[in-house]
Amino acid sequence: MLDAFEVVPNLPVLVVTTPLIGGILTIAMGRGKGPWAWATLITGLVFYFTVLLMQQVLAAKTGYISYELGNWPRQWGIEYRVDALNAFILLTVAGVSFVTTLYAQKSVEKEIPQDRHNFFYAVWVLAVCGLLGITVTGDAFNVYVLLEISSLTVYALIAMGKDMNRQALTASLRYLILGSVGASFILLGIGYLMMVTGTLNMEDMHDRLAALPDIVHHRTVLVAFAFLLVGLGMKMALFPLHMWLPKAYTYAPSAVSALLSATATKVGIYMAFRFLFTIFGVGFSFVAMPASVVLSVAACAGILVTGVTAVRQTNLKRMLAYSSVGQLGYIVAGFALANVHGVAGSVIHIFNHAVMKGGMFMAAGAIMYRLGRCDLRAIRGLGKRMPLTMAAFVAGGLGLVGFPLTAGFISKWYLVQGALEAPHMWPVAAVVLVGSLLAVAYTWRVVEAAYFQEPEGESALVTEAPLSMVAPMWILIGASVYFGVSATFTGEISMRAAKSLLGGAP
Amino acid sequence: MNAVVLIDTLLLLLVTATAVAIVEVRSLYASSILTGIYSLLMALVWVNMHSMDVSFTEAAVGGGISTILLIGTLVHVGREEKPIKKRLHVPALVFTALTGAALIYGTLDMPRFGDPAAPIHHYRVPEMMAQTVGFVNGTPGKQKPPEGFDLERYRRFDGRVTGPIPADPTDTAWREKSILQTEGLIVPQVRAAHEPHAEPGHHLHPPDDFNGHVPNSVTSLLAAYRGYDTMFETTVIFTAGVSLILLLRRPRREGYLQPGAVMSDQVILRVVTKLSIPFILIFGFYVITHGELGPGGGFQGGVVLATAFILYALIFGRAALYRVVPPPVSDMLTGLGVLIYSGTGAVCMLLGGKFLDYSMLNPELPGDGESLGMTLVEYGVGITVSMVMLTIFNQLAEERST
Repeated sequence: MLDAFEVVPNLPVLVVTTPLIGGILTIAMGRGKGPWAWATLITGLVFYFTVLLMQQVLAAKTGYISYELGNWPRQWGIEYRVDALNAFILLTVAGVSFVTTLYAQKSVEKEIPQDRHNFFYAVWVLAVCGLLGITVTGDAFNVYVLLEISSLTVYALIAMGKDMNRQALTASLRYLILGSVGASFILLGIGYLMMVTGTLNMEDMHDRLAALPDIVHHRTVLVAFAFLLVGLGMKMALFPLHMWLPKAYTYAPSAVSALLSATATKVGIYMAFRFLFTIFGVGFSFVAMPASVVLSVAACAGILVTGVTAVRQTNLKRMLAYSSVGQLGYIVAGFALANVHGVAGSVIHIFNHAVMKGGMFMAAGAIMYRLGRCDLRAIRGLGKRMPLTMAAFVAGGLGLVGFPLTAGFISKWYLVQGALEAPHMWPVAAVVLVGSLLAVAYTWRVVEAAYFQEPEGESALVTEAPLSMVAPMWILIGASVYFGVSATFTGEISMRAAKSLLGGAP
Repeated sequence: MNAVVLIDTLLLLLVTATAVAIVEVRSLYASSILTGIYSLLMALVWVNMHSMDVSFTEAAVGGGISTILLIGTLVHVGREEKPIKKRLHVPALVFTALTGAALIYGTLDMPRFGDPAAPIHHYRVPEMMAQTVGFVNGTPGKQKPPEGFDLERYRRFDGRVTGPIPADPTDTAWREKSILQTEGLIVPQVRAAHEPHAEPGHHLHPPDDFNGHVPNSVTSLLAAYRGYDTMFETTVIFTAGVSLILLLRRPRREGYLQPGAVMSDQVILRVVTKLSIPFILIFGFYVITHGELGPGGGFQGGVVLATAFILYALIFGRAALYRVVPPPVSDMLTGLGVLIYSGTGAVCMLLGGKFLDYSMLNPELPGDGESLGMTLVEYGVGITVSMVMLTIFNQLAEERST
């Protein structure tokens, strides 16, 4: 039966169906370590598939791989289309998910009731499935269906925070309401577009929109554009639509915070790429429509406001959450410039921020694991007691600042270059620099507490976090340093993705 | 003014009145019942639009089971809304008004309702309605089959595909005809001459009876052309069930069951329930199995099946239900449904085809393979939907210990 089956031509669909089937089977993995081991196996396999897929995409002559589900022609059925951009995002999401699953074992053991680990990991793997499914598809409605899966699973995962206390539940409920509002806007936008174009395939939709006479004054298209912008803004936590994020990341289980910060909002940004660049096209979104101005003003305001808020936080996870909104601001400001360096900076920062922030949330989770809390008082003197964890946190923090030889430096290099190339966009460059200063401030507060203050109470007695937590943390932080020193791979991929988004050669 | 507009106007007034009442009424019980009424009215709107499948779903899910689940929630939160001082939240009002205005503004350039020239009626969708997607241009011989293609087998089936080709592609009369003519399998060729089929010879779906070619074109759309989306819609239902177990299920050591109210001492209720449950179940299976012939399918049938179990639990108590379907069994079945669906897709792939290419299931008679695949996935959907509905009901009815 298996004679006719080959892995390579089926890679795009395997990336999504493996975690789907694997996620369902997680329920049957009993109690104890079974569900975790199974989830690690599945996410590891998916990561392996995304690596193979990346190789295929780089080798493809057309610059992309297309897979027609059910063998129906792409204009009628559903198409999976993978180019340099989504192969890179897939690799990032799958890689970070795998490392986070490795990390999750100890932390979940402590934070989630033992009798429902199988359900927890099932939802966890399905969340990864939803995020990858959004990223791989070339069909506008398929995006929405997978968005439902990723949202629903994430709501459930957040609500599991700290023995399901009231704060985690209300944070999850708040996200559920705002997320559903955002998703409704996205659905309305897709519906309006389908009404105007008669198709759901992204490429087909773009061609039909481009053929519309006087599209700039087509009121249905304009409303669809506005709705999609608002809906995507909510999903990617664009200031001022980020209100759900800080509480959700603060009260979610530690492993979940690490997973979400590295993947969920990134996929939201990927959706924005597809809708703004692939479906509407650069000419409509950024020339005819004021998306550049709207997005960069929101992003810059976000960088400044949340940077200041982050400095005032005492809870480490909450500080990281606010910092995440600011970092997402950099990504949005980058592609809002709509030039090659800006978009490339945006793409590369998706990866760089995923590894840095993922690693930092893991460090915060390790502190939670040992101390049961992670505020600035608790970490006093921890530099000596948990040296590896605190060093990881600081290394990640330096990345957020954009210190040379860290990945964050590369991102900001591209962003500043893009901002100076675009006409009248130099304030974006200024905001990037001010944002870095704010990152220095909040990172310093942690350094000061951990290295220059004496431990008190139980902090004086703790030991380093277990190896199963420290190792994954350092894999991500190590990656952020490695890709800060040698940015050839990430830089080339991002430039290629940026050029294809902007309509140049792939 | 024609009758359709008249009915639509009346329904719109009723829907609006119900929506206002849902917001205004203080009793949560009344408001739950009103949401059921709202869904039934919407089901009528869909009937008026001739979309029977949507209407059936709305009636079964919105009018039926969601109302029961909402009332189940009242067990936990109480029947009355907490008295709060109602204040006007200005930003919320402005945001809502803006959204409403944008929605209306967007309709200004929309194609008129039912306009045959609308993109949705003449671009891509006609092939789906006529179920000719994937045919090798209808007429054999015009295109050279690719290597390895069994031309003999194709001709054997293709002898039946000799339908008339409409002269004008924007003419919609052919559509009604094509749907009526499924008996004779006359398949109209609707593509305009200037628009070539996607890569020629690439999509060799067999031009025999199935090929997504079923009397109810909604089923061919949901189970075949966009079957992959439907698989994930089923997964959404599954995820909802699992998330609810994750959040609400009582720890196992406390046992699943708390004694609840039982109404089985009421003779009439007991007898009527016992008499109607077999018929509900048969109807549920009928709706799943015959989804390709008329309105219905896995989603609607699954909900109907679930109502039989829920009715049983309401009258005889959940202890009796748990004897019939213990929670571990229903947990397993929720996953089994999605596994049947995704497994069908995976088997097609392992046999050398694309994921969910049902024709791979029967290389000798590809049409039968598609028929088999679509039936399998409909049952997968039915199993997951019914068991998740049951799980949601059980979890809501369970009293949390804390």
